[in-house]
Amino acid sequence: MNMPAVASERGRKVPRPSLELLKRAFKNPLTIIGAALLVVLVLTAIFADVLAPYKPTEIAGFPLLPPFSDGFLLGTDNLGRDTLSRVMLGSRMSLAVGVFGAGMGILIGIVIGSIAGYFGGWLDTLLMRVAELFQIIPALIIALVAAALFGGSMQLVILVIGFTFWPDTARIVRAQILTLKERHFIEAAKVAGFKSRRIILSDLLPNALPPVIVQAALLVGWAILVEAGLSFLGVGDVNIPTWGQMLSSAQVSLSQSPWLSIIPGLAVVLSVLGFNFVADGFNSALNPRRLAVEVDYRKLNAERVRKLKSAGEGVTAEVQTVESQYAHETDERSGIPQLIVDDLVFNFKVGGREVRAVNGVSFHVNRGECVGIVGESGSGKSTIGRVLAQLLPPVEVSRFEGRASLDGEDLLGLSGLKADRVRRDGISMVFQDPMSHLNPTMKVGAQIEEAFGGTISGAEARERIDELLERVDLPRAMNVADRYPHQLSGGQRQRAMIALALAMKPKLLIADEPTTALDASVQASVVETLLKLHHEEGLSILLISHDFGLIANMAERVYVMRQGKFVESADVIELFDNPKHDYTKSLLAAVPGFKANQGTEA
Amino acid sequence: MSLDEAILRADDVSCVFGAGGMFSGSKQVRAVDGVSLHVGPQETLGIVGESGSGKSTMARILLGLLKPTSGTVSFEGVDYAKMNRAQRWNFHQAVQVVFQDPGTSLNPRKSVVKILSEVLLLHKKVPGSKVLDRVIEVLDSVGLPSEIAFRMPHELSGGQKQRVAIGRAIAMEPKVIIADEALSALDVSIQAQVLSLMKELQRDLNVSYAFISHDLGVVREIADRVVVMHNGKVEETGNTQEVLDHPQAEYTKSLLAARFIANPHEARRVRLARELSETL
Repeated sequence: MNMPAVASERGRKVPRPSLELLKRAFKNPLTIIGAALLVVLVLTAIFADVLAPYKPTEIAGFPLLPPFSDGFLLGTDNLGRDTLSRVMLGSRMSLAVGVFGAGMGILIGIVIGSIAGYFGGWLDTLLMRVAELFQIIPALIIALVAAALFGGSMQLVILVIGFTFWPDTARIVRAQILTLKERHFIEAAKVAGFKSRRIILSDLLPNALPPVIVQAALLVGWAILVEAGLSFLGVGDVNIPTWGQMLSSAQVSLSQSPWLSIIPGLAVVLSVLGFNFVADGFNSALNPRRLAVEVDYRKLNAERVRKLKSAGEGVTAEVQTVESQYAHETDERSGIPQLIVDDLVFNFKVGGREVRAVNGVSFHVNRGECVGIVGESGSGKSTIGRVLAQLLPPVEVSRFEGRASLDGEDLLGLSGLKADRVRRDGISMVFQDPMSHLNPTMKVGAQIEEAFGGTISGAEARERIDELLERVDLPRAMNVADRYPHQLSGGQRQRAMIALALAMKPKLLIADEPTTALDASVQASVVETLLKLHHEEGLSILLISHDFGLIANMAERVYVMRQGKFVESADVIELFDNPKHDYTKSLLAAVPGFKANQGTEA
Repeated sequence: MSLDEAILRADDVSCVFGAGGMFSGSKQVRAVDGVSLHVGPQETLGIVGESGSGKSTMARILLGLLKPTSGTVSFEGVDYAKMNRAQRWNFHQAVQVVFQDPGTSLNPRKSVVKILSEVLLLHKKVPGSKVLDRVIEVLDSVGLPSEIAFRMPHELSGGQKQRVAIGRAIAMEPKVIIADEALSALDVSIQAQVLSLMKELQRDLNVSYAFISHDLGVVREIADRVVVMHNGKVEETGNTQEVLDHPQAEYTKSLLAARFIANPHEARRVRLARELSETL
């Protein structure tokens, strides 16, 4: 074990996922409002006795005093009892029923959901049918029937809420367990001989619970609403003041003193809203994508241009200097390089930590050349391709500098809208995982037609689609155009994605790990297709990969990347025969069978 | 080695998915189709195949996570299906696993020390008071510093996670470790480190490996014998060197031919040869 690496890692403090979740949830202002409402609700419920100016049943003044009367902030009811005191004490009942009722529902849901999810089979089918049954019976009606049978009491209301509220939680827990069950750590625990109960409690549930938190907050809100409804209808203990009861008795004097209905109504609405806001905050925090900001390239580009201009340099002159700089490196055949990238820097922030993905790289791709960028995971190689195509997933960009041009035209928005066109017409990308980059609900042909951008349609479009598919070795007879992505094999899918990329007639194809997800035999044939396009049609390719085998088979020139920088660049044969940098040497030495190949060469 | 000495042995094992059930109209898939193989003491058996070859289903069968539809699997001569309590308990210690994806092979909510100590305590490998010492010993033997013990999985790199997963397996002092694509998700340089760690551990602990992989290069470096699987069947089996240097089955030949050779000279020669043959 190399100690320096460990030492440098020690300083890095990675927050625990649960803390991170809380932090994300509270970034949302609505969560803070919700939490504040809940704090007020809970404190009122706890200290109601001390805070309330009067006893809730005490006849303290004249009946039906309006709010802001002397000594009665919220007025009095039809019996002359203080409304403020009654609302405060009412919060106790609401919160108790909400928390205990929903808590019971969640507990039942967790138990049933985990059993159904973990054991599966007939048990799962049975439990889920029962859950469906409970889902269609409205809580309110069961409660009324139960109240009629057993008489109204608070415990009864809690029980009814508990027994009608569990199916949603059970479904959520079951779905979570079903996906978690496939995780390797669960299988490893089974292999080690842990009992099912222990695996569920110790490995499955702690990982399944975060979405249940959201559900819990929602359910408590719901339970408060149901409790208000029930006590409004007269179920429950008449001697304990509740918001529902207050609403019910306010009916009598609705026209005279509407505030008697408005005040407890507002209390219900605010409590439910509090729980919903908190639930919503956690829900967004669990789906970080909902909070992530799309990269606004327009703005970033404008900033870059401003910086360049303030540096006192003519922007177009910049690109030209770069071109003249490269001119001596290019041969007569290709002239000026097709793609020039100069001193590209792209850093972004993830979870508060800055990732220096690309840290000042310069390179070029000549017309009709296949250039490889090779590096390990985290080296920043994929970021280069995505920045050039401006196809990054949502991240918070902290630094974006440098210049790039395609066929002499600025690529990174130095001249605003024009760069968008240059990029759209000039660059296409092929990714590692075609399934997540093809639309699963559209036939392949329709997706390619969409890429034509409405320039052609009908029989002409169909002709072009077939032609494109044939170019990527998907003959007409296979009828790929009329199929959906899931009906294709991995290799066919990747070819379909290449066809889609070619539909735009790109000058440059950026291929990011185009074969990594494929079986070896399929890999070879996809490479064959790419090489055919490269050699016969002169397609320029920027190949991004970790695989030295792929690089050796496709690239003519290679850049070796590590931690956002190029450590070495050379002709492919030179790189393999005579690597200069220690990092390249160590990478090559690690390729299984590399030395053996060298041996056969001699 | 005779078959009787085999630690793990599968005889004519088949596994059919989608058989019977409520919707018996659905298509049946023979994921594993009449496979026989064995793993001997201190031996590494490579199981090679592409996706859909049935190699991972075979791994799950050997681990006892999946019951075969037909055929028998046995551990030290005892049929999995007929094990008594003590034999099953022994099996749970003696057969361990390392999975492909280090991201999902450790419980994200448990620290390294918890992950390693719970298996030690389950099988009462050490008394409670000695657990921490043993955890540190295990970490040391997989090349991790002791301070890793109090980290959570998300604080570790992919290579470190895979080392912890290997640590969890060897902590049980197993006889066989089934490694299902254990190196595939790692960078090449990390792959090489973990590969040499696995070889080292085999020497020190006398453990056998069933090494399941699609990567012929890696299998050549670690496996003594190799089983080539295709469409659920065994295409070819034998000494690794022999099978990979002089393949008999057409499928093995095509697998070897399809492999990218990390050698641009060779790549160019192959391409030129093909172009030449096309023009002629």
